[in-house]
Amino acid sequence: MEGAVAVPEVIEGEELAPTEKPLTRVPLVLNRRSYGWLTERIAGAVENRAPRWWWVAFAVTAAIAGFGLFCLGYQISTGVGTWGLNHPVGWAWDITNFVFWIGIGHAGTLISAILYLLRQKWRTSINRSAEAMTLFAVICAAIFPGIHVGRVWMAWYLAPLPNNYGIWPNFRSPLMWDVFAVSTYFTVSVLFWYTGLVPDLGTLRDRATSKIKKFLYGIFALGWRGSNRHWRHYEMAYLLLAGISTPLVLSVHSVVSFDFATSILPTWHTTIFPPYFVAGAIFGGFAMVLTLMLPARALFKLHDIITLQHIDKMAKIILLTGSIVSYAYAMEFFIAWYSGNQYERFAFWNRVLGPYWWYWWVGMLFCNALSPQLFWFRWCRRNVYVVYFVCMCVNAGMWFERFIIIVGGLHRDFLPSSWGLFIPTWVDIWTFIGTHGIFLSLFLLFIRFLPMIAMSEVKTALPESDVHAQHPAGAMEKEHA
Amino acid sequence: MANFFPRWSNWLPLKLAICSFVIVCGLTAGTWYYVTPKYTKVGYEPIQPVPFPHDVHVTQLGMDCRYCHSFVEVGAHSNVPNTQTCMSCHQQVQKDNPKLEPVRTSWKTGEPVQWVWIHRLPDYVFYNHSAHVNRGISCASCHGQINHMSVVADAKPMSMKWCLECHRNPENFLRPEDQITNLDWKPDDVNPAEFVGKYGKPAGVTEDWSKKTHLTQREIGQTLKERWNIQTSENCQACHR
Amino acid sequence: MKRVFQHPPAPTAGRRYWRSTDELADTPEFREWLEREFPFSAAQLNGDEWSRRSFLKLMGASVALAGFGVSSCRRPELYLVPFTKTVEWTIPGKFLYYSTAMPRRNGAIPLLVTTVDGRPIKLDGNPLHPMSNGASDVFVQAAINELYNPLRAKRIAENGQTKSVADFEKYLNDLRGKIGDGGGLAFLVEETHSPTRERIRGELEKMFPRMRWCVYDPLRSEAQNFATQISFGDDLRLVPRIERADVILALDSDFLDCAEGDIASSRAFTSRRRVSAPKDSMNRLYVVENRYTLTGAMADHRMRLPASQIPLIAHAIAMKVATATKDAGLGSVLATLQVPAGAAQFDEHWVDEAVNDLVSRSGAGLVLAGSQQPVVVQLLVYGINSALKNVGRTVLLRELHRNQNDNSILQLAGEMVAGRIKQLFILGANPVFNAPRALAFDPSGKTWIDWPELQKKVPDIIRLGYYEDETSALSRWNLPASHFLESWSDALSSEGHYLAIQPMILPLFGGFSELDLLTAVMGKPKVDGPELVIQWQYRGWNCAQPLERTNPAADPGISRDRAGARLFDRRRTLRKQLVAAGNARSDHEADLG
Repeated sequence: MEGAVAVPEVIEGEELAPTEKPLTRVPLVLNRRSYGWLTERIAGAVENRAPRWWWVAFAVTAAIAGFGLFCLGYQISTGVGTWGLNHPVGWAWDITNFVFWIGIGHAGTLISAILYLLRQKWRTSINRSAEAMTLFAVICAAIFPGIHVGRVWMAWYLAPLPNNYGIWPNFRSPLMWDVFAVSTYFTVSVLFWYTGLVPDLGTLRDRATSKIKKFLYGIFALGWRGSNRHWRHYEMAYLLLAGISTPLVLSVHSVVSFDFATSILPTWHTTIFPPYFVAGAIFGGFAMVLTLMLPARALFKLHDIITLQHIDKMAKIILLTGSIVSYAYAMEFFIAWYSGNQYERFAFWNRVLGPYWWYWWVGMLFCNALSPQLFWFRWCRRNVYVVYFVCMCVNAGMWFERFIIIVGGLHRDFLPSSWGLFIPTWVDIWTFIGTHGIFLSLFLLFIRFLPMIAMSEVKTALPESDVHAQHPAGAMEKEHA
Repeated sequence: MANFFPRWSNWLPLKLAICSFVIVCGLTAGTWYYVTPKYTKVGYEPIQPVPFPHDVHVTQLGMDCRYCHSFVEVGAHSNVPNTQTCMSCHQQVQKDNPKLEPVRTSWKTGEPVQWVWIHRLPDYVFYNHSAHVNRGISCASCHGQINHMSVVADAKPMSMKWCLECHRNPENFLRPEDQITNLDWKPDDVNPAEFVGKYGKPAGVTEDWSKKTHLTQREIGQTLKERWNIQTSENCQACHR
Repeated sequence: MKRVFQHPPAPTAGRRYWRSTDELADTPEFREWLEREFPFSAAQLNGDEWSRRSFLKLMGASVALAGFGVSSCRRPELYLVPFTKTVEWTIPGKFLYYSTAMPRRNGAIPLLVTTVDGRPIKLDGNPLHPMSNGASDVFVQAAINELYNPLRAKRIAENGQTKSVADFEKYLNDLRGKIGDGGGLAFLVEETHSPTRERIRGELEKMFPRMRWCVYDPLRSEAQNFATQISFGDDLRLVPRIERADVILALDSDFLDCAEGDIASSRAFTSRRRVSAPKDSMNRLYVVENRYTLTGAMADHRMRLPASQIPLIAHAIAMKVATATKDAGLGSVLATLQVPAGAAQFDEHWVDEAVNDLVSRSGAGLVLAGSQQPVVVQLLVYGINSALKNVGRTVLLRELHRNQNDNSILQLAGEMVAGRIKQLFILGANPVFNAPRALAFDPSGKTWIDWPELQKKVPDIIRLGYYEDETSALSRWNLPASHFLESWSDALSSEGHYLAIQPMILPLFGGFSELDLLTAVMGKPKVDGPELVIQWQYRGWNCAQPLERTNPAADPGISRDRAGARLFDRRRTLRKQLVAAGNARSDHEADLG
């Protein structure tokens, strides 16, 4: 790039200072970074030798993933009895983990689809990682309904295939819709993620130095040449996919919530579950995006691309969705009181004062409802340590929330003689920790082999890409000169 | 490095797609045909210790099924005849036939004849013979034209889908109760006037069926279904108890 | 391709060393093997068309085919195996039901047994009999497992050595000569209420006039029998009519538990707890007990009291009842008793309320005492019931033949320690394990001794046991006992109904029943059929009417399930007859009381 702008390495105070002129915005990429700089920085993370921390992190996560897979194998070969499930708690960590992971996936789709349709350009810095995270979370989530049926080789019964038994799945069951919703969601997410990757894969192919890399990136780049026609088709496809997946953001977790809402258990059969679950999913998903992006930003020195402005915006979404979730919590208690139903009332008192009381006080109240309220303060939104602390709270809190909803509804049966608590076995615990290993291993592989930031899209957020924008003074002068 | 991939690779994805489509279809079709009870069960014809010819006993000699399978109308299990039943005739008839040696040995020693089990349902399926043969289901519906078999073979797949075919539409299989063990019975054998006189007509039928030259299986079945108030169960626990 | 292995030639000079143990042995087989490259059969492949390569190729293919396509995919062959000869009434896959009874300490329970192919598989109460009405208890349900228990005694043993039936018969014939008039002969039996056993005992007593007959059961109450005898006379027993009582006071009496009470008691009690119409009333239950029992759990008013305090509270209640009713009989009983010393440690108000309740429902109240309570409590309770005019209304007197010659285990122990018992037959009981301690005083050693020591003083002990247990170890002969589902017998229910016991299956391990052993002692041949039990019917028994007038031997079961409708009809008519008979009996009993 001959016309690369000579700018100082860091422009002091650019991102923090409010702009003096009205109607001008803080740039999304700081320090007037050029196209070339972006390509070097992002593709470099893939092309350079893996840093030592990557190897250490990958060894640890892969070991955890390996032990998690061993637990899965042990559970499949021995049976569901290896878990702590027993009367009356017949659903516990398995479904909790499923809802937890599937919720995390929501941020990716929201960022890539809804924010795209709303022309939110700041999404470009984070959408690639968020989408990848979505896929890996859905993979982790899909493990649990698959294995909790016990005889996994019978899992094909979930699919409506003509068979020798002359029977079909029960289409009235939300558990059935769950299969359709999650598999549709996964398919569309893969397509979306991959479509977005194509121009960047072309870049990596062109920059590749070895034949093997060139061959592999070339295969997946699908012959991308960056011609005008390619771009036109690409953008149309991307727009269509965004349109298709926008309803999915709302539908998937709504269907997951039907698993509970269509039952007759107190604390489960609640009509506010669909919006409550969707908001909770976006809440947890954004927390997980930040959990992954903040370290990546520091380790790969991406401060100019993922700026405090991005973090601030995501914190605001966490504040919004966290407040929706808190409202839903309050509304559940209100309805329990207002309904006059003694079972409903008992169940909610039990949630607060029963054997799982601290799950509610710590998980739901402190982590989910109170901690995001810090984000009312600009200083908190822009302090990465506070943001990271809140995100970790939300990650834990959302797991506890699902656990309270599921086990809290079950452990106090209608028949008091059947009351009992859920006691997880080591297999339960390690399967869950193992899915974290799988999730992080996949994410580490992703940042090692694919561009973690959408190069082609971030470039559209640069001032140079917008011919009508008011360019930074220096750049304009230089270009005109 | 622009032309890294040769020209022929442009068409490779299409070729691969077509190939995999053909392979997947072929595998599906193969599984569909070969890995079903229709293929694996029908025609199973093991060698029995005594080559009992059903065609001779039933068609030539005119014996009724229930002479040997005596508790089929009473029990869930349709018994195979014990040695005493065989010997009640074969002490006089064919008493030196070498093929009957296992029966005579059994009679002398008290050790039963071990017949090879052909029409075997899985252990988790409960089937009640008496409930079916007392309500218009013929032996032939499940065992085929056994009266013409010199060696018994499995005639029907006996898969769950096959069971449900009748449980969903019993009128396609019902016949008058006195024709249950008449394995050659055809709907055309029914005299419409007699039939309608005996069993009436289904509700809502205005046409006078007794004037017809013959009745179809569906007409006969619908009449009997209503007459006997047959309500076939499609509930899981009807068979899987 | 054949390559002959070149064995290095043996050295011609110097000392010859053997190079393998086979060469040292130098057998012809070794020589042949040495010359061959391949084993015997492989050598046949030698020839142009059979190279090693083609051999392996073909073998590999055949192994693959055998494993993959042909043999391993065969359907496993299963067989249909009919009976050789038709078995009467058996329909493959259908159940047969027979009626019988389970002998119990408190009176037999009428049963309906489900059998499949001649094997009993399930026991239930007989729905046609008023003593069960289809109900059973845990002991009935467990009895089927007892039948098939692999730990049952399975052999005849003399001093631990397995013997044949002939050996035992020979021994018994020799022993009979030694018994003489029965001066050294004793029988230790369990309570079974079997009329036929009583009849055979009578025959034995004719044969051996001086023999002893001891009825022993660790939970049997002598106190209750004794109190009944002195209160009401011999050959009677009291039958509570719980369903007629409005107020029940149970003093350490767990009458709702199946071990102590019976099914009929539970049924009678709960029949007054079911309210389906406005006019229906419920009974009220007061319980005084030292532990939490089933009866205590059902109580409306429960008082915790140590078992040792029960006589005190019984006395207090009797005093209050006597004051309220001014009953002379109860007064005279109380006059003979010393007023117990010590302050009352129970809630007086509770007792007052209970007594007021009982007195206000005079004739519709019921006081029960636990069988383990001493004679004085039993007498007081009889006195209270009598004063409250309950006898004849809620407590019925029922004739019960009681043999006056029965010994207690204490009497038997006294005889044994004196060395007077030479031959002891132990039928069923396990006294070594559960007899009370310090049964007899040994004058020679000047100590109290336990049953195991006593048993060592008897030279000939013949034990009929269901298990080889502690008592078997100290007995000379041990005979396997047959289960009540394996033998003919009879028994009386707790209210005195006659019940026939018929076998469901031949003895699994060749066991003897009590009746078999007793007839064998008399030297009579073994009776396989029901003849012994039938003889009872011919002699007659006036205590109670037999439940079914049909000959129990000739009628093998109350129902065959061949035609369901017929069964139901028959059940309905039988039930009607039974209800009619029951009403008639009840009236008769009321008169008697």
